[in-house]
Amino acid sequence: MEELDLTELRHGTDLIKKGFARMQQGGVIMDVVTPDQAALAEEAGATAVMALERVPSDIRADGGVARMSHPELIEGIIDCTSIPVMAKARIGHAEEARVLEALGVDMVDESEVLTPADPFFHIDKRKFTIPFVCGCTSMGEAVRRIHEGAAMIRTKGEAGTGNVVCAVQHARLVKSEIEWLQQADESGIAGAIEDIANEFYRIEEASSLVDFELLATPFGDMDELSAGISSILDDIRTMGRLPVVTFSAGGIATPADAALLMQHGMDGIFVGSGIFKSEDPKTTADAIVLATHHFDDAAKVAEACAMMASPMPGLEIDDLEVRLEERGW
Amino acid sequence: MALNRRVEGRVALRCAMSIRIGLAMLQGARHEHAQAIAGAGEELGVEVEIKVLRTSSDLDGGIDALILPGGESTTMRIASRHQGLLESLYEWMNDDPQRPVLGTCAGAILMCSPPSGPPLLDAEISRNAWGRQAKSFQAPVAVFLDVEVVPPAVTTSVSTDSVHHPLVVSSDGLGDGETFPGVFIRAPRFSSIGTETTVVAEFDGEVVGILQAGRLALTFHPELTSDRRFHRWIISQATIRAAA
Repeated sequence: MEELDLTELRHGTDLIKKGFARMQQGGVIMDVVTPDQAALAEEAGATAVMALERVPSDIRADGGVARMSHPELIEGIIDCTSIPVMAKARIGHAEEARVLEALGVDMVDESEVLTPADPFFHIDKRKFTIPFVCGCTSMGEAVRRIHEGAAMIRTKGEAGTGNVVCAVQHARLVKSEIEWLQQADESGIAGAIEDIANEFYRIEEASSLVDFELLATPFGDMDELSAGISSILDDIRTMGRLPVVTFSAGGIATPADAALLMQHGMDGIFVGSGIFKSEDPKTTADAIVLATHHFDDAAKVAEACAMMASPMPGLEIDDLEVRLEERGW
Repeated sequence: MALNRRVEGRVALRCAMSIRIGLAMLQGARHEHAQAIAGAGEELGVEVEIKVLRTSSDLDGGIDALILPGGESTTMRIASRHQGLLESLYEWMNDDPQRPVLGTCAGAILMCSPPSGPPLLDAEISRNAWGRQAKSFQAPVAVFLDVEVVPPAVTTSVSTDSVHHPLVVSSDGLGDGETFPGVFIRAPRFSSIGTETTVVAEFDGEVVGILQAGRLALTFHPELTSDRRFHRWIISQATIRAAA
């Protein structure tokens, strides 16, 4: 973590960005598509809302290219809510992120739910004043995003399915890889650094020139990448967890789903389609907040489950035409 | 300020029990406060037990001091709806104004504007008054607060819950006599300060921390830095009261 400069006022430092994410811990962040839904989310106890035009299950059903939401929609939601407002930019689409920052969004989600804009590189998040949250399916992917400047990580899960299996898969894989890293010897760690760094060089595979070598990535050359990754792995080994706030996302549809992911050590929960695609969104929102706050108390989780009408309909992962978790790397 | 003075060499008060600090687990940066309290306890050589407060019955065993962490104050009010924790905390604070309480950011809002009943501090506060996240900032804050003498003791034990590893906070050397590293995140601002309060922290001529009886409210986040002065303060206050 960077040193605090006591002599001057500074905005957008690593500490301020990661500190924002820390204030979200133990919370539920809800996808909303209208100001009315944002008001309902705030009243239910959401710690932030994700402003977007369509929830992931509709994006999935509609197909086509999914882009950043219209500024008027985002501004309408910003104007009507007092809790933080997040919004999604496409993977690698720095210009969409810049627009969101200019609109006054509190945090950008560089999200696989939208159609990726850059096949080789994610956004250089260090260049922004506002913080970013990024998805991951594994520890290595999380480390790459943190190296790029992400202030918060969420599991990708499989958005818009109401099926929690991928969120659990990603939480378990991250945790298992961290446990392995903590007991790995020097050569094991060196290998992990190399494996994680090599992914930044995917553009080399796209060239038809046999001798082509990428001289430097937007995030440094191989030496700089290795040093940055090594330092993040040191933090992970010390803490026994990712060194930024880590939420679960992608498929959470019931209070029990939320409690399950909290039991997997997640710091909080994103609920996308799960609330406003359920039979009674208000009660679903209340119930998921209750279960997230009291994940450790089975009686409270049971109380939350009993509040529910029908959750959103779920989809089998094997039947999906598009796997959102495979976007990004 | 005397706040930054080391306490070794002073006459020690010895108390038999450890100090129990209640930590409201409603939502937000709770593990950071737990770590800061553990660190401050070690710096002071005081045995501190962190009592995690999730429901009103968690207060049954008694606490010597209370921390209201930062997070989203609206969420905290709603989080309390199902088990009445906030009501019990207000009751605990109202029973004796001298009871040591540290409220940071959202915690300060909960102290200045309770959902019902009288404010716990003679001050008015506005939420998110510096602007949205892009306007969040870090800057030096001038601190005017004394840390009192504290007794030596054994060890510090901290447990928040079984599945969440704490995020480690910066260990950089911070603090420079009268200044404190102020971290303001979508922070509130005091819109008026009554005569009952004492100013304990200022940024650029603006009041950012107040004290009234045992209650300390800060609009910034000392738990996000490794400067433990405010956490040493609350342990000291609790220790002195417990020994009296």
